[in-house]
Amino acid sequence: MMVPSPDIVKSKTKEQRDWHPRIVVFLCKWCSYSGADPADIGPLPHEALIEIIRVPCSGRVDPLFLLKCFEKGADGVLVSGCSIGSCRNSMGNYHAQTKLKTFRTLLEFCGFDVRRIHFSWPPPSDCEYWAKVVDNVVSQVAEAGPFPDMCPIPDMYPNRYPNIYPNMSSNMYPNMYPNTSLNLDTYRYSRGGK
Amino acid sequence: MSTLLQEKARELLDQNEVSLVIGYGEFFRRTTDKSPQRIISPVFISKPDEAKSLIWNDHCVYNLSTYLIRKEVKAHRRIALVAKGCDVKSICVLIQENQIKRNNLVIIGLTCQGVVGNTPHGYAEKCYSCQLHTPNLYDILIPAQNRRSTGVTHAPERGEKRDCAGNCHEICQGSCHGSGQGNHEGNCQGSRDGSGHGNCQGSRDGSSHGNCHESCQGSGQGSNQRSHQGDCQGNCQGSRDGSSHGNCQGKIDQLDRMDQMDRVDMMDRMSSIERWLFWKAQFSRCIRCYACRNICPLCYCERCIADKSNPQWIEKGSLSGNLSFHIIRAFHLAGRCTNCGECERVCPMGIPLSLLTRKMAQVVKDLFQFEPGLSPGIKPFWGNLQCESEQSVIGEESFINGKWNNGKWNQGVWNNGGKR
Amino acid sequence: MITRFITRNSIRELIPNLLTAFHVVAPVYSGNVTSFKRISSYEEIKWLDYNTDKPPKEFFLPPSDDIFQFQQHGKKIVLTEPVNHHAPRIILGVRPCDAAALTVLDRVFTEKGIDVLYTALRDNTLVIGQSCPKPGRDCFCTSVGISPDESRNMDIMLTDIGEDQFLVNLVSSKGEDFFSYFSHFFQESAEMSGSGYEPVQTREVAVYLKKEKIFDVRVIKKWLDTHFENPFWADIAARCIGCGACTFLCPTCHCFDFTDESVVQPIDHRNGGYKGVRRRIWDSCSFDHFTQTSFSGAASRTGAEAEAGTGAGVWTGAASRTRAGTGEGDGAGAGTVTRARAGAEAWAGAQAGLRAGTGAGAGAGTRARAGAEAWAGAQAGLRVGTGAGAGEQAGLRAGTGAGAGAGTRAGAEAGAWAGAVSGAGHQRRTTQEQRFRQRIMHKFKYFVDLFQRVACVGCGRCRSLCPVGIDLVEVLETIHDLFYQS
Repeated sequence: MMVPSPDIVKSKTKEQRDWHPRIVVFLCKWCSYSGADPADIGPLPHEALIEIIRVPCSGRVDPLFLLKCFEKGADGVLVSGCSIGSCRNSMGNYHAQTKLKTFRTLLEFCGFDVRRIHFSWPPPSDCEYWAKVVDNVVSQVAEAGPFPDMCPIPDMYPNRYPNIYPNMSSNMYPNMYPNTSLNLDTYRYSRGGK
Repeated sequence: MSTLLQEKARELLDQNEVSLVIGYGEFFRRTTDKSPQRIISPVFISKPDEAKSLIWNDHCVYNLSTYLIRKEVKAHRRIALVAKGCDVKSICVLIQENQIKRNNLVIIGLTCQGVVGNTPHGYAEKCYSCQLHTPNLYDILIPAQNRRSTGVTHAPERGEKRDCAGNCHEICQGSCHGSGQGNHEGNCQGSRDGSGHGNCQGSRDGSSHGNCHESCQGSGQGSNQRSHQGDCQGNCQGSRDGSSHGNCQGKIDQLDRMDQMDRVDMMDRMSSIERWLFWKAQFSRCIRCYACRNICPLCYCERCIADKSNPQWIEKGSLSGNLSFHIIRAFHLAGRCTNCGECERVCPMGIPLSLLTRKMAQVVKDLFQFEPGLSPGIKPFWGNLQCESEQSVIGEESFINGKWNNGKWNQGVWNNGGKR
Repeated sequence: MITRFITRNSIRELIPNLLTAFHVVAPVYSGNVTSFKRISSYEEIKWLDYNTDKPPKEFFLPPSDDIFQFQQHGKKIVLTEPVNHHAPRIILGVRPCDAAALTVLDRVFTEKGIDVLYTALRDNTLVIGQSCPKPGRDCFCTSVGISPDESRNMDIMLTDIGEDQFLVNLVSSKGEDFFSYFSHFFQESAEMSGSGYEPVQTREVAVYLKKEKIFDVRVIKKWLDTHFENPFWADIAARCIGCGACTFLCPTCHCFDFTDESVVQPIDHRNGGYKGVRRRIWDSCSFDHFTQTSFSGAASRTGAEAEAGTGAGVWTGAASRTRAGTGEGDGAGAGTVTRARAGAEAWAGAQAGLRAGTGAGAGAGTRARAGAEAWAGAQAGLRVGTGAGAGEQAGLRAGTGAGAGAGTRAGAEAGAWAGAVSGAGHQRRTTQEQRFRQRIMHKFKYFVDLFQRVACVGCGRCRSLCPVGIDLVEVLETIHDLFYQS
């Protein structure tokens, strides 16, 4: 089961269907903010809620920020910095790209839906570009659905879907080495022998 | 040999070249079994007489470079450390990052043929792809260790097909339940004529069956050639004539590539949701004991971000906090971790942490062609990013011609072609 | 003493009945380690020969326990009860060592002040224990005064007598009540193939039952009383990496910390401000930041605190992480807190104080270091005593004052805490040697001084799961030898 199918969606209550994607956007204050600020995006698709965080350079964005966004209730994150060659801080965006894209691989390896994490590197003050970026991001996050798993206090957000993923049991994991008999002392000192 | 190691250590201490030698020592632990348990544990030696407690065998699993970052150890003027090839990589990274000075350290390098671990062949997972049998940095070199547990000289190398020369006995837990004699002889048990035995729990005549499916890696040329040659297909669980085959064959492929990336590939092939559930299940067991962080030689921050509470970045006591902690830790080790595997070994809840670090190492290698720890002279990766070209090496996301191109990140990087 | 028998099949039939009314907890495989978990069917139970890797301590002292929820409205914070489920539970398969560990936890959490969270869990739990058919490889319970067939703190004890049958001893009245409800699952007599029945025991356990001791705890205590400083500690603790594995897996370790987890309300800002929960989480004396208290901004406790006789006061630094029960000022100071739940706050202080009282060995005994240790007690005790950090007196006050009288006492003393404790991130035990020494001392000396009981139950988990192979028995044997040599 990957994404809730349409009939599952229909079976949700109205309150649940009123979910709006919440997206946190980190904008570097040079290219991205100057493109985003005047952009007339109008009402966003899916009535998404966007929270903008202005940073002095996209290199300021630590990967931990992305995780905190999810913990605080975001469904998607967009980090936007200058395009290569136009960074006001000469190489900040390169650092950001290196860090964040590596980090996104790690997140994808851990099972985060990569549709929730986006990066964009617009040319300076390009509002149209920015508008298209936002459209794309919002549609992908909406497709990905709500993301309550990282929120520490689930009952705090009543207008979210309940956890749509099947119940996990702690024994559910692929057995990496089936049928290994651990006769050797592996220095985890398996207790008492098998 | 142990004695050479002990002599060298004693010399170093006698001549006052070092004030502390950190090495492996053997302890006899009292247990409720009849005989005491021989275990290996680190020893800190400051007197020449104590040098006789140093030992070197295939159970010396620890990465002792983790002690180089402790302030009690750093207070010594000069120390000697006993290190295998994989440990020396961590030392190289520490030198690169200016945590220790090369001059303050005497590395007693150990030629290593593999240490024990939790895998079907009995070796640690990192040993399968190890190219550093001789450390790439050392002051004194000690030859290869005693093999206490198995009679085999070295861990199987990638792609190597090997006769199960008595090695298999932990693995082949059942008889290949084809029928017939001669079926197993030489395969699952050691000697070619079948005289050796292990815990291959099936009967020799194949009447009982087990779950041999990983083990028969050997080239067993038992009497029935078709079924036994090379691949074990049709052996384990198949009938003797090879007409049916069991799950041995898939595993044999895996075993052929039995290297560090094997489990990581298995994870890659899972879908995104399966991976999420897997990690959720794993990290819900994490008790945040920080054994993984404290044993890591490269986690040397005086105040870890996970302990910082003003403001609090990483929660405690919740699944999301555990996820954050491990993901951030893996990320902070990207391009620095040398995959000694200690984090996974020490986890009291048995969480497969080295999957994260190995994935990071793979990503950094693929994208940036950087492998940490190969030499102390190389500059660390994250501190020396150079922007090479207008198009950055990792491919740029761009909105080109009215279409959204996410670079290669959503396409084809993953073995499942980016399927969700 | 009523003796009954039960077979595994009967247990298999009994479990679904129990599941309708109780949470049933039993040993299961969790990944590749064994631990106690809530089960939903009989098949999940793993009948083990030896003890689990993770003790059932988490069912009495949860690793993460919500104390209250808070919601900030402008300058006010409203506290509400958390939604804690204290359904009645049955824990099956507890070994004598883990059950005896409950004595230690009971003393800590109920003797000098009732910890309501703990008692809610403890009173709601029926412990069905099982005696050990064979000792685990690393067990040493008989050396600390426990035997593999004792039934302390159990309500019902099962003894394996072979052929899938158990001898049932009803130990407590709770056990008898349980039995009276479910008596049809039990048999009057054993259906053994032979003539009699005997507990299944290996030779080792039989030897153990003769109370074989590896070391004498009285000797250990005597040595610890007089050898606070000794080069032995540096030797033995050199390997320790300072993780919390031994403490978190120890069935008797009980140190905790408080943390506030909060989020800013959603973007619509309907309510604005922080909303979150305060949790009590496990902490470990091996961590290098244990007892580290940081008071940035907390010195701004106002004179209103002087009226803290009722425990109601003004406290800046809302929604901030507390360390060792102390309010760490957030610095950013998200407004002030009005104590809506004086009981809870003061209780939190009391608990932490109690912990500090025992953990730091505050004021008890070792006068030589009483200054340091007692002061640490005052520090972590927080809001207790004058906090002047001066010598044993404050420490003793901290130890006893906080411990006794949960609630009002701590609240009252909060007033006297005139911001005199202004330490900035002070950890008294700065080296791993000191922390390791503290651990041994706490188990075998401080706890004995305070509660007349060794705090170790000999389960052996710290020995088998230590990442670097430090062996507690080796440490104790060495101490034993050192005592006799001197």
